[in-house]
Amino acid sequence: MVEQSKVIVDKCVLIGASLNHDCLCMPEKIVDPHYLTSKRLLDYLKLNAIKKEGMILKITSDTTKVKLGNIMERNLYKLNKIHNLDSKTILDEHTFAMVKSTSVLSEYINSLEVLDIKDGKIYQIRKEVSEFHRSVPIILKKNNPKTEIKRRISKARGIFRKFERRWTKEDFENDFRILKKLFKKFRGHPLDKEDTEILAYATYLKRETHKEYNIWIASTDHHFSNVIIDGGLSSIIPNKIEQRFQVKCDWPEKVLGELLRNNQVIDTNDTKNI
Amino acid sequence: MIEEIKLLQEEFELMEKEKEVNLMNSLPLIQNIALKLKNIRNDLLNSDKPKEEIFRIYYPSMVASIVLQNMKDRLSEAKIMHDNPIIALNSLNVIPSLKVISDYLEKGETRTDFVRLTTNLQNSAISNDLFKINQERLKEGDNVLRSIVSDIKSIE
Repeated sequence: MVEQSKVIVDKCVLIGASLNHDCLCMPEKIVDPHYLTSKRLLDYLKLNAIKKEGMILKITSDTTKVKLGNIMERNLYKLNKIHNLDSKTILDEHTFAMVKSTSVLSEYINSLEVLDIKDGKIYQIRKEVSEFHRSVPIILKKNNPKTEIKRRISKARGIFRKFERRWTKEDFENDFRILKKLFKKFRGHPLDKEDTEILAYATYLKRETHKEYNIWIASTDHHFSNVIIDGGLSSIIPNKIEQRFQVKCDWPEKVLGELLRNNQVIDTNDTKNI
Repeated sequence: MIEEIKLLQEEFELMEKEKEVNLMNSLPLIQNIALKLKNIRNDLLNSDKPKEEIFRIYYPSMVASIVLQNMKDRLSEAKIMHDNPIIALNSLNVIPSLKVISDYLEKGETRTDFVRLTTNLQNSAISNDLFKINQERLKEGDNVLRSIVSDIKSIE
């Protein structure tokens, strides 16, 4: 049976797909690291706009533009430090990049269905999501046996000290280091209002209006998707979100893969050529 | 600048009503606004403000200039191209966003949502066919502007 899907696109994917500019006066490219994968997903959603698979929150449209401005300003600051170019050249270059990026961004935004839910149930779900995200650091800590191992090592006496090496090896092999770093990442960059909204809306769709659909959040943000830290991959956050809210979160390329597999409409090769 | 835009709006309303293009009043007004925008940019380039801050003004002012250039080009060719009163109607659609931008630029206070304001103008201009630059005119311009056009055309 083919499962139908709906995808809520996060702002990082929208920016990723829009930001790609070859500078004329500098060797650098103004490009997002997730450009290709984000572009493939959004091109697919644009091409299949009639299916209404892609969605966006009303708030995302504006915040994406603010974030794009911030990225460009940071880039301007960085490149200005590296190259000794005159102000006009560097500002023109960035203006060009902005004109280009915002045009592409607007096209993508226009191809997505805008979600604006007025139902009172959303407030309850929002509360639930906030509670969940407050509990994430605790989940991470609980799942990280490093503290436990350390305690065991410190308490071990005499003959048990020989287990120290085994416990440390176990810690290393299971990539428990990632959880510690992810925990720090969550504390350093807690969930913002928009992230809460995205998950709340996705949950609302799953529970109320699109029960039979697979609801996806396409994001490269560590609040939703898998993260790679020090070469290790952690899926703990998307797994917990799916367990709790039945919403699937993943990187854009994985979401695209699922859409193509489920729909079985567009030839994969064609999409690669988009 | 906002006063000139209001006058320009009145001119376009008149053109639309009379179904006749009036270049005598509209072109000098457009040129005047474009000159003011250029002066704003030049003042910024000569200032010692950080480039990130300058960009918040520079980028909207460049987009506004591109829109005005398009208005001017289409007005000049309106009679030959039978573009009247469409040019008047298209310009009237864009003027509200242009007013917002000029108000922002005149105040000189930078805002974090400058991209949103500028994108509104840009999108409105694109949908009203006022965001293309004549390739011939660009030969006189600088390289960056030339690339803006070729890239925008490839996006469309």
